[in-house]
Amino acid sequence: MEGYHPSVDSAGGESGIPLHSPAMQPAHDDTALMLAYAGGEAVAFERLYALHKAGLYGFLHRQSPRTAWVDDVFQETWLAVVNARHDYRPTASFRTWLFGIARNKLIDRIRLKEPALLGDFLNEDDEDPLARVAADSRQEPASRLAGKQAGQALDTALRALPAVQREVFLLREQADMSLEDIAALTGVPMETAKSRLRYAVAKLKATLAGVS
Amino acid sequence: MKPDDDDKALSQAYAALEHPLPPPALDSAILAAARSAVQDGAKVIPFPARPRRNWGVPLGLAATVMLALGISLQLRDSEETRLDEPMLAAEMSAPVAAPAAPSADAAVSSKDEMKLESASTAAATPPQPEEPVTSSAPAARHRLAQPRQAAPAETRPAMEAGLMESAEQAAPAALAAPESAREAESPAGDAMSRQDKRSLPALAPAAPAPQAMPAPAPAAAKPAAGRSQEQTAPALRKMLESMPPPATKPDATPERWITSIRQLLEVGKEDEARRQARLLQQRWPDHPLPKELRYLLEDASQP
Repeated sequence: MEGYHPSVDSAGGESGIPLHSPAMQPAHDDTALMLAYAGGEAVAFERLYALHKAGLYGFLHRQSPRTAWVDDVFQETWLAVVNARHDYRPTASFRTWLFGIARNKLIDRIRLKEPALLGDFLNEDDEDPLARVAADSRQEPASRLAGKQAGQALDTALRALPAVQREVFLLREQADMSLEDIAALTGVPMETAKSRLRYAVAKLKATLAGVS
Repeated sequence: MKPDDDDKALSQAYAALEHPLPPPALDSAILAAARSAVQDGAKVIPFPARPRRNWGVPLGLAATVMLALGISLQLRDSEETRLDEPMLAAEMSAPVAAPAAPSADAAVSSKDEMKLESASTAAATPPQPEEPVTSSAPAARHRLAQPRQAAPAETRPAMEAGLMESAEQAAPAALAAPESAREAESPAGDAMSRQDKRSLPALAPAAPAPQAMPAPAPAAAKPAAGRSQEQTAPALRKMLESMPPPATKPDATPERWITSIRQLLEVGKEDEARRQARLLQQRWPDHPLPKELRYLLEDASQP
């Protein structure tokens, strides 16, 4: 059992953790923290929670079809981490494991509460002619976009994305996961994950270009 | 994965969006649960209760229990009904010493109810020798003389038909009924009488006994009745002679009785006709016999 790594503390306190904290907190540090928590060190869990709560909560906030479910799914995810601390094996990154739990909890909730929406979250058909057209079209650089109006348009366009495409985009942007990890988490081939991300990015860029 | 500036700009735009954080209360709850898990050594922390799931199991169990109870009660009732049928058949074939005709409260309109009432009355009422009973119905006496025997192997409808016929034949057999039976002349009784007429057109004692019911009809079984009387002990025969007739059916009117007496005379059963005339006179003393039949009483009064 690995012990608690003092280097984790150098990443800063809870308030200083940026949105993309994984860049500053290597995956092996997450694994060490989780193993330390399984060994009985509660402070290790507090560090893990501080590192990933914003990314996980943001992912659930935008991926969940109902805002009222976010808190419940978020809490269930972390309690599942607590209950599974003795069974945790560092075969994958902690972040992938954590977001995988959250994704499964969300799908379970959808299956229980609104099964009609489940197809959108498990849809394997990614062919979307509109997205392809948007991807092929040359829009103005998104860097020109600024201001509150662009943010609202982006948020609306993000929610309008198909669930599987939005999921890949959020895992990429919110959790800074690699395509390989995203493919493993969602259970699809990497090419499929890559295609979904490409469609999502194309649609969002088209939306932002329209706003500008 | 972010090949061009557009992708970077998109990432920056997304990062600039408002990213909500979990409420502090939720943070506190999760951290407290994590701390208590390692401090108390609790293996599993229960998730927030879900009332719908918690209610599902008890409701399902309750519904299952209620369904099982309902089915078992229905099965038990049907078993009791089936068990009663052989008993009823046995009682039907058993010797009947008690009045077989229904009492006043037995004037029911349903045919099946009448059968059951008659059978249950016969089964529940043991012979009461202390009551003055005078029965001259050969069929009834024959059944009294015979030992209790098992029900014949005929089908139930056949036995019921036999019961109905024997009961109907006992009525015109001039069985003197108690006053309660006389008072039982009611519309219900009339309705039952009409039903009996439909189902049993052969009212006369000369009607042949049904094949399904070996119990002899008065006319057809007269020799047998005679044999049974001979085989009966003198004391029992005397008792039977002194017994009042079983309660007649409410529809045993004098007119029908007289009709049956005439039918007896037509088939040459004068002795039986005399006895019926005498019983009719006892049963209906105020109802005079027709002139052509009065000789039956005169001859019968002579020793």
